[in-house]
Amino acid sequence: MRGSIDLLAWQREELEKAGFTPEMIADPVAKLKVLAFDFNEQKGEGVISRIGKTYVFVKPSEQESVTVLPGEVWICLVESAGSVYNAIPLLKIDASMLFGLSDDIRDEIVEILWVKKRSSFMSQFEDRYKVEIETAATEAAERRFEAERAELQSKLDETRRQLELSMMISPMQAEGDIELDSEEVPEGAEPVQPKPHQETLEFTSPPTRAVYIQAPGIPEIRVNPSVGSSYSRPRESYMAVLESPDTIRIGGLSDGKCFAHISPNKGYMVIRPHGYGSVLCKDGGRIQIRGLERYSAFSGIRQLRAEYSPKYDGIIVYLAARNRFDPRCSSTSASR
Amino acid sequence: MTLFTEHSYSRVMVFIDYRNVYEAVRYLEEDDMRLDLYRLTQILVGDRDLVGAYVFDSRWKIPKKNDPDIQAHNKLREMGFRVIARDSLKKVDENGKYVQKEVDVSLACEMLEHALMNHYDIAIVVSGDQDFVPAMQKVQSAGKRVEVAAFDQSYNEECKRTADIYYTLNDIPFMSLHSTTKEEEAQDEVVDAIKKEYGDELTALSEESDGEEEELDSEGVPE
Repeated sequence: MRGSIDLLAWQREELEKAGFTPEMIADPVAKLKVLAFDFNEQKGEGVISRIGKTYVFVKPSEQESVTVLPGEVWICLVESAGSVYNAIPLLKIDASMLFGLSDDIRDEIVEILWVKKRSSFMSQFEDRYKVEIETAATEAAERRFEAERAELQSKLDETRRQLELSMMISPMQAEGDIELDSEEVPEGAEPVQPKPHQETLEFTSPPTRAVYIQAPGIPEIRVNPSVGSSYSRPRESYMAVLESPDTIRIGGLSDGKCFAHISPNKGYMVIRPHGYGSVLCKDGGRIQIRGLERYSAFSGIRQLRAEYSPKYDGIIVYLAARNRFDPRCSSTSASR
Repeated sequence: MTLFTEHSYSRVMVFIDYRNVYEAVRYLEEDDMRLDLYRLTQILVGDRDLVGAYVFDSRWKIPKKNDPDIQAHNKLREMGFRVIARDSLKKVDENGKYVQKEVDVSLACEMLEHALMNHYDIAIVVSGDQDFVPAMQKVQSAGKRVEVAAFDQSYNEECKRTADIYYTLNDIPFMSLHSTTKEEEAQDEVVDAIKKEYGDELTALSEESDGEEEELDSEGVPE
């Protein structure tokens, strides 16, 4: 399409519309040019254009009647003036003018402008596009960042909710455990079996495992439980038999040395096998203890209850029923 | 039932008023029980981290020959206790009654100093004496927990109320027992074999050595 447009014919028509006679335009029309003017940097003022390598200046006689500014594109009548051309601006090509043109002519003009001023347009377009691309890229990155932030925030909120929920559930579960121990058994659940020896000694606070005092430079006594230790894995319950006023036999207790301790209220005794123990266990768990008859009156062979106590890390023997631990009156450990 | 949670990493320091505990269980020596502060400390501390165990007592300014108090203190030191004995034991009358001074204040100062220097998290005071109440309150003000252990008969009610946790020593098995016969006290089976071989001569020798051990035990020295 563009190749079929006769720009000269169009120029001729335009000039005729402007009042030029065919004679007047017959010769000069061949020198009718579309010129893009730039600032005349050499002179420091005015505008300048170029046809090929030849400079084109606005004809001085026309400068008073027509003002041509840098960056404007004009259809000009070009006259030779020695080594340069003088241009008589005829018609400025701008948006209003272009809108009045047909699409073909507009494309033709743009094509001409692009061919002639490609380098300057490219730099302008590049700058403009660079800014636009950067703006677009920044906006896209911000959108992506916001989306990721929102996603992470939602995950964080969810985690917080779960944490709060778990903190609420834990005490509820603890309460549930207590309820299970009571008579309120949930439907479908297996009935809670009564724990053996419910009435046994239950110290809330005296700690479960014994520790050994170790001071630098001081002999570590009792710190080697393997010496003479007669039980590796304690059983839950033991059978203790008071065989004589001063002899007690604990079934399952291996021969060796033991520590024997008794509570001041003489209610229970704890036997702990230990290599440095002060009592001797022999003949299948028999232990002779000085003064035993004063803690547990002997009126014949009788059985005493004994069990392993993790709190005291030993076998606890209940010496007398009257001295057994009674939670109603005992205050072994309590908070105020 | 306790408000507090036990943590194995809690630093515990024990402060024992020796005379307070010893006098309370002294009568049990007739029943062949011996005060075992070592075992008591083990039980009270549990699986927590013991950073120091102090025993506070008094002694005669001019010690007697074979002073049982000094022997007891030395045994406690061998076990790892830090014994602070004030030279403040004074006889009141000719009946053998005596009083001790400075001990309570010494315990209170030590407990407070360690609390303010953040040497422990939990102080266990083995005494039910009301005199310790202000010191315990100051220690609590320093952000520490105070636990008290004492016998029912010597427990002061204000002391109980002040303590974060209190233990009644009557129920805790810490009095040590010993074997009945001399043969069982002998811990070396070789001695038995030698006894069988050499008869009464060595038995008499063994009895002598056992008699010496009994003397030491009769002084109420913890195991």
